[in-house]
Amino acid sequence: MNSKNLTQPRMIQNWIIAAILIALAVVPLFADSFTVRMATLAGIGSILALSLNLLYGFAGQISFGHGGFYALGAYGAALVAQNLVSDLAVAIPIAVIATIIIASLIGAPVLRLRDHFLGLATLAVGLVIYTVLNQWTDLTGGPSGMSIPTTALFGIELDSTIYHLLVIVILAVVVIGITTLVNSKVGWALRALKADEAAAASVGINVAKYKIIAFGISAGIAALGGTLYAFLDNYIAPETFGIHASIMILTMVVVGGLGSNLGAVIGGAFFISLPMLFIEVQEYQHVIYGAVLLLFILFLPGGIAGIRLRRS
Amino acid sequence: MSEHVLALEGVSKQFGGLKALSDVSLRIPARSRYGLIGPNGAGKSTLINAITGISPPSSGRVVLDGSEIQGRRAHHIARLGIGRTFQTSAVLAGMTVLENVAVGAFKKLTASDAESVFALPRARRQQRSASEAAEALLDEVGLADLAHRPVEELPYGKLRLVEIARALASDPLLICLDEPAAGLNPSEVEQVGQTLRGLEKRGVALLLVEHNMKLVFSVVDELTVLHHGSVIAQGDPATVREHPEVLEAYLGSRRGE
Repeated sequence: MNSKNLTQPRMIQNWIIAAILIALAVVPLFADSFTVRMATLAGIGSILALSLNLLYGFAGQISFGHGGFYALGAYGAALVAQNLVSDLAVAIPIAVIATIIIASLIGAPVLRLRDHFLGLATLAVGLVIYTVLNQWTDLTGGPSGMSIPTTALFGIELDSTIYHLLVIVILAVVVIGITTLVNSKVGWALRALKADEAAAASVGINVAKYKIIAFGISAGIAALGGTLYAFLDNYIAPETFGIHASIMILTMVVVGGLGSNLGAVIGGAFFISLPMLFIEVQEYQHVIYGAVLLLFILFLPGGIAGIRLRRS
Repeated sequence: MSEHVLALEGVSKQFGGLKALSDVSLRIPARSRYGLIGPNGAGKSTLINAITGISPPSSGRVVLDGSEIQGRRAHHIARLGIGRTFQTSAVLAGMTVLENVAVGAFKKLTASDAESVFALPRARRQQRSASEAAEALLDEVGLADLAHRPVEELPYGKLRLVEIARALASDPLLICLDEPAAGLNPSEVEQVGQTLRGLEKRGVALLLVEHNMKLVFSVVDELTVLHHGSVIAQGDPATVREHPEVLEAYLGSRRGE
């Protein structure tokens, strides 16, 4: 098969992703604990960006509410940790599956909308989730947040270095999983319905069903990111997951490059580290986000990952 | 298989106060090539959309291979055996030419979504055979060497062939082509004509909507003429060509001037 012109850049992209993951993984060898924490957050950011990239980049369905699913993962994990057992092996599956179920129930009506209507509806979803977490004080502690007793996996407590490695390994699994999904039958359906819903239906693709599947899986991955965030600091509060979180995730994907896993990894890592880099001007953080997003939309609509591809 | 792959019985379509189709009946014999012609606005695309479930008929019956399908959703009708193309090109940007055609065989990918997401052997095997069949189809329409190019890089004329190949990929009983020759140059039209005449061998029936009369008359065995949403003539090309109402409505009333 003479598939060089397409598979080659994709191969290169996969190698670059592998290089980034290895670079993140070795950070604890030479960096202080502050930098390690930043690298862990970068890994979580990449997971969040990959999650929205699956929905928006590959299936063409926008979400301004992914901060909400990020929150559901974090709060799901905290609830499991406080009420059941403070262990990732239990918290991850429960939080992720619960979020997939909730997102699918929300997605069924919401995904009937398109484009900016879908954008507004998902924005509302994110706001509702945030408000509930903030107000339902009996369950979530309200604005004062929730604490997670210990960071453990199968009963073994993890220090920050091991936890960092775990996050990077999970990030690698997410990358491989999404790459597999995109090239599977489900991936064909998602990419087809993104391109043309009527054409997708004309080959027998149940467009409504596959949109919900994309929404559910995407929300589940965002929840995975939330769970990992909860066990990183052993404390979560609603303010982390407000509308700015949703916008940040969207920005990561657009800046990285829509429809590119490499772009999502770079975008996610970059935007999580950004506030750390500008720690002295933190009050201007959102101004910087906005400016960067604007510059990319105007001058580099293909995102960071689009730079290389355009030239080829 | 029943004698007629598709039968329309009294199909009407109302858009508010506008009657786009009134009481259209026609029968397409299995494996035959059937034409649907008429002036702009005659209701041809509306009829295809009514058959394929994009915009179901307001009344009447659509019978595919003996069972009624009107009112079913588009993806369901596709799975029952109707492939189609669209009047305006509807290739799937972001996918390769090969993927565009292979996705046409979506209904043959019977492995569950879970099997597919986890890339289990059955799902992968089915995808591989869909890709191989797509390569063979691309070879037939003369696009084999472009298989791995992103589809959006192809010139317009070749996109129509990609769409026809995609419509055929599911081995449907019937394909409905909505103006496949629109905007093509004469050699591209000839390529489309060749592909359509070759359909007989595949055992698939064709419903062809087209303005290029030369193409229609060189391809179809039988045809229906629509005018203002109603059937004004039906029969083989020779009969239809001489039908007075057709000459009047379709070719214009100036004959003999």
